Amino acid sequence: MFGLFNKSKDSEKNQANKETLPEWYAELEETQTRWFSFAEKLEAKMEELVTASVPELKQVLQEDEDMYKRTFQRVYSGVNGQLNNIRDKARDTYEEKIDSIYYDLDSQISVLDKNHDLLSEFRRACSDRYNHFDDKFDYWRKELEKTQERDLEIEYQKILDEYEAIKNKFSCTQCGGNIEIEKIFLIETFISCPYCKTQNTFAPSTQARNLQNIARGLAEQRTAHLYEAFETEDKKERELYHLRHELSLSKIHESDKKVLSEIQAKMDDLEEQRQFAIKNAPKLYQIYLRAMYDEWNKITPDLKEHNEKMYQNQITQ
Amino acid sequence: MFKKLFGALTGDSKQENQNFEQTQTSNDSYDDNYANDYQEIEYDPETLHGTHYSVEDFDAEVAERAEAWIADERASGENLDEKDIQNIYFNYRRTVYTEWNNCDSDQMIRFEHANSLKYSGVQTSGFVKVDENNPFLEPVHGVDLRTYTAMCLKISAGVDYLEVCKAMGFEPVVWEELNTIWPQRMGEDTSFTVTTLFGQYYAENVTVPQLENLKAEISEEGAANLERIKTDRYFYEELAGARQAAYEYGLDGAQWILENFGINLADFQSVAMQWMTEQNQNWNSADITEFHDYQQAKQKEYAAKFAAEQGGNIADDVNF
Amino acid sequence: MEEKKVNSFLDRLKQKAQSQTNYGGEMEINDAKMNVRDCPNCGAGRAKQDGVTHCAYCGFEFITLKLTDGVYIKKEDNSI
Repeated sequence: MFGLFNKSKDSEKNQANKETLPEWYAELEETQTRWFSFAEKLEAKMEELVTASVPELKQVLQEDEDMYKRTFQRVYSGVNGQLNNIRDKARDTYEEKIDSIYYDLDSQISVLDKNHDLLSEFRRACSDRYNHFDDKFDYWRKELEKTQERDLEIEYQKILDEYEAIKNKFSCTQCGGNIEIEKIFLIETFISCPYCKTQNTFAPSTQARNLQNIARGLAEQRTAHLYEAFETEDKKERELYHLRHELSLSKIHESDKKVLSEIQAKMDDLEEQRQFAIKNAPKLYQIYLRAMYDEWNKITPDLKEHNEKMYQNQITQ
Repeated sequence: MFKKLFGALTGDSKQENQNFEQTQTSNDSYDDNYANDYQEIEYDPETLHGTHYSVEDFDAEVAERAEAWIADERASGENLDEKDIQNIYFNYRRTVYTEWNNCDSDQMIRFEHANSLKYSGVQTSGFVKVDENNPFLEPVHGVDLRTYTAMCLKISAGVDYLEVCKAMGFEPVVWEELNTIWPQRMGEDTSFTVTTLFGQYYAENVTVPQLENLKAEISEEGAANLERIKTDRYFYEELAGARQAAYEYGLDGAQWILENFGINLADFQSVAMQWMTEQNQNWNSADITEFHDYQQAKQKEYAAKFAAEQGGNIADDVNF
Repeated sequence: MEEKKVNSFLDRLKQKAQSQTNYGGEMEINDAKMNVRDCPNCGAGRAKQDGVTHCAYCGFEFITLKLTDGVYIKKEDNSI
């Protein structure tokens, strides 16, 4: 909004200066046009790369039988590498083409020169375009990141099913008496035969061991709504701040006392909401964190003691 | 020991500080003085404090200045939280240290590393001392952190964990407990003592008598390359850059280094830790920048090679 | 034309990823197992008397370590 105001002012100025435009201006204009189209082409590449990769990555993940999904990780990392390559290309080109011409001219033209504004405007426009590109990059990177998400409920269910299937299937290696596996063991353990007291060593399956690796992710998945509630509240502070800031700007050109006091009342209200959000966001985070750890403890009760220590560390940070 | 030599200085440190500030701002031949003074300062090898003052005096000076600032801030209605106060202390520690020792920022950072546990509650690699009474360092099932690290080194070098257990004389069931509890402690210990010490042992490539005969296979070329990354920092940086580039092109960097240079992950990480520890101990920002830039340049070089192998990068046809 | 480039890149990348060896070799996928360790000294199966560190029959030392409180193994598992 502030930018619009700036722009109209600048274009007025440009109009006035039209006849007296300096000779270097043509080069600036051309560079700016090239930069805009270059950024646009790179954005198209990112879109093309990510949209083509997402379904492929999802398929690779599904077919990857490795416990650590290493084939998927390699493909993912290769696609990500190309995305980074595009970002680097934009950064290098910006430095090489935009920054260099700007600094070059800036060193020759005094800030007091009436045409210096043209130079500043060039830089502002190019840097805005660059920021826009960066936003797009972040967007595509996140889209790519989403392909890593697995529905951990499915994997958890498989572990539970496997446990149900095996829990009564073992017998003592010594006397043959039935040994019930009382819970999902995360690592190897000694189990004493209830009949002959022989110490059997029980080794959980590869799948069951994986419970340790997915437990936190699953707990996070189950409490994601609470995290979202926190995030929304956390973002509110900035949003309210900007709304209030805009209102405060609108006061500058207002002289009607009644209108002014109305604006002030609105601003006060926004500030009150903002202060509430500042206080409330950490509370919502605490609620999320407690719920997440509770869920985690439910999934792997054997890790509860350790997890609670981690929780304590996290809340006293 | 040297404290007495500079007794006069510590006697009225405040006065001296003011003098120092004056010399710094008004003396024309500042550079010469700086160089001379720099030579003259003796540092305690453990705390890296100048030996011409006592640590108590130093801490007192920092506290006095910090508290004055805090009181000032509060008087003007500022709401300071724990973090702000820590930052104020942190900054005054830097100021007082630089003033009292008339040193450059590299020396100041070395000092911060040596004292990170005392002042910020966090360990820095290369400066951890083993405290027998630290409950986080108590052996797990009789196995201390050093031995655990030695086992980890063998396993990530490619020795089968069952072999490692056998050599240690215990069953896998014990190893699995160790391999759960030690990482848990690393997570629980907010001072990072366990993690940092693990890294230090890793860098030292520690071993225990039971494991000495267990060797991961290494080719002649691999052994030569390993020796070279240990002694030639540039070569190490080159491989680190190459490894990073490999990941960006869909290759498992660890495997790629093993296949092309014969160095396994454990050895590579161990050398990485060695260089990092060395860097912490002899902090020198010029060197750090130099090595960082070198690694970046090498990464680019290898990236170009990998790109050529895959038929170019996606955006190669986009031109300015 | 453009489309082709991205697709052929992806195809090659997938191929490359699948043909690579994982560091440390393939992970074995195992089912749950139950085992018992026989005493190498007297041949008896390991029985629980007071703990797991010694053979209940002949006293042979199965585990030379002093067990502490771990995940599943506890101090009480040291044979007296």
